[in-house]
Amino acid sequence: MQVIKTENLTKVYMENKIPIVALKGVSLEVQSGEFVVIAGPSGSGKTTLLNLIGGLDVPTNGKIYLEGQDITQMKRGKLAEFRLKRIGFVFQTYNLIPVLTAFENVELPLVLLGVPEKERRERVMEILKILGIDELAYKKPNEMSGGQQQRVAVARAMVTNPAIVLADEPTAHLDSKTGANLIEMMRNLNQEMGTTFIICSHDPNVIQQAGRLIKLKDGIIEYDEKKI
Amino acid sequence: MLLKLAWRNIWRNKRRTLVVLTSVVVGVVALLLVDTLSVGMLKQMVDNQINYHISHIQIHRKGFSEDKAIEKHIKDYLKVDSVLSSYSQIKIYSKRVISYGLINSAYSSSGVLIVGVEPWVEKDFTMISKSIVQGRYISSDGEILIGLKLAEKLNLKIGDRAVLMVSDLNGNLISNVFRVVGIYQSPSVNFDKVYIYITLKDAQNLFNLGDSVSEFAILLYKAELVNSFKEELSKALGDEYEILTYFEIGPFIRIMIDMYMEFIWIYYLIIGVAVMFGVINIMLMSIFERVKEFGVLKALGMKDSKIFSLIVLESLLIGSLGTLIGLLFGFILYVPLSRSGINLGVFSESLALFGSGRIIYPVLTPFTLFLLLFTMPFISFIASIYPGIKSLRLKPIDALKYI
Repeated sequence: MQVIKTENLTKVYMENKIPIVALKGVSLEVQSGEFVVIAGPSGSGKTTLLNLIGGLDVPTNGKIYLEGQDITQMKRGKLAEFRLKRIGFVFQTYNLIPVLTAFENVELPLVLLGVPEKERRERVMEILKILGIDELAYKKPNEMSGGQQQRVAVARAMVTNPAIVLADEPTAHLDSKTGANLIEMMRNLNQEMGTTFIICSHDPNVIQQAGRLIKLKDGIIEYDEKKI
Repeated sequence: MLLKLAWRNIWRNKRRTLVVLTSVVVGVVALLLVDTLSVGMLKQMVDNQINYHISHIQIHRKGFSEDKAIEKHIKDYLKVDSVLSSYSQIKIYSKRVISYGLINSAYSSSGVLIVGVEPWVEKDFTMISKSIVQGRYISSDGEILIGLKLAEKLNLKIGDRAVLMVSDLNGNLISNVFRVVGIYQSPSVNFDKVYIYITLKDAQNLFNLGDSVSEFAILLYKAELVNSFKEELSKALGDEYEILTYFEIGPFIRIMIDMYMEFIWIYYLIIGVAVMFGVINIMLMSIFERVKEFGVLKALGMKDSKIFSLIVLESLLIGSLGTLIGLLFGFILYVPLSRSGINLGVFSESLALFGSGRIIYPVLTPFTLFLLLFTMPFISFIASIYPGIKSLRLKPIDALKYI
């Protein structure tokens, strides 16, 4: 089943009144359960593509369909709700809420969804256990290592059972061993739970785990191949 | 969760929150003291006006309040007397003869308002008998009680004689000699200059009134019932009488209450605005520090309205917490002051002009408590709107890139 489809996606930024083309007519389809890695050098348009797919940014031209719905036509509120229900984000710098514990950070999207407290508790503890960080539940981000924080961020992205998890350079701030562990864990989640992952990275460990590798260069898809 | 998040957020920068909390606390304490002191002063003025002369309700013949001429006496005083004696709401009532006259001493003369009273009733009725600074209260015919300012002006002392000159009911000029038995001093200098007291009998003889009187002054058990009791009396007595409550009799009381109502808003406004800018400042700082975090929350799917609510809640928490602490400190100061009073002796002369004593007892009313409870949270709410709007304008993509 197709979860993502982009049609002729173009994004032009204005920087000091000079137009900079970040994406040039990218058309892409992603099927449910794929583990896609988007690779490419800095400035190739990886993050721009990820942000557009996640509904965080709007394209200059082109369409984006998530589970058949054109998100470029959605209003802000509707788009926020769509992100909450169907998309999980993992950021480069973890971006956990510093005043909340690991448990509460993971719980937050469920609170926003209006899930009852008892169910929230069960679902949060379940995902924390799956990711092997249940003993960190009541620690705050500043009491955890980078790798631990990024696992909590993955748990936060996964707890709502989203259709897609979008991760932007998730291993960039981790040492290679921790990064490799994290990406292996994400791959396992993808295989066991069937969640679609799209990861932007130029980390060889990540690229190695890719189910499908898309290489971007100067805003154009240069290479797109399923590895498995 | 939103409340938990808001509560923890305000304690991220403890020092900054404590500074703004202190400003709210100081604001609440200042407002509590200023407001309760103003109410205390006002209450004292009103009580003094009521207790020294006005009473709660006065009954006259129609037109008496505009011109206290002796012709405006109550002819059917027996009817009024019998109606009043049937009401259980009345604590006490007194009959008076009041009209203009001239008092002469060997040195000078002065226009006065002569009040003829039943000494045995008025002794418990008004505060005059408790405000004697020299001599004693009048007890029998031929005696006169005057104010300290008037005594100074006329150079009258206890035992001196004074001549009262009036125009009687028939228009004849009548004069009579009285002996000064007492000198009083009320909190109002203007009152002391004008009001002089003789017995009801003497006044009736002087004005050639027979047994007639010009005023019935009534004290009720419950002052707050004056308006409803006035209506009841109007029905019972008919429309040939003017029945006036202390609000209507003493325009000064109304002016003072109106002034209080106007000024108190200004106090609240000034202190409120000062606190508001402090809260806006820290809320803006706190938002600029958390732009990226708002980006994360928006990316996760938190709606703009929720983020706006979070900022409002943080501000409201500061306002409410500051109010509670402020009220606590305020009460610690208020309770002993409401017992001992605040001695404003330095301003005693000007206070006397306004009919207030020099020791002011602060009074906390439910209205003041209501204002104190809601002012700072309301100000905090207003202060959060601009920072809240700022957060609404943040686009998740820009916020996430913010360093």
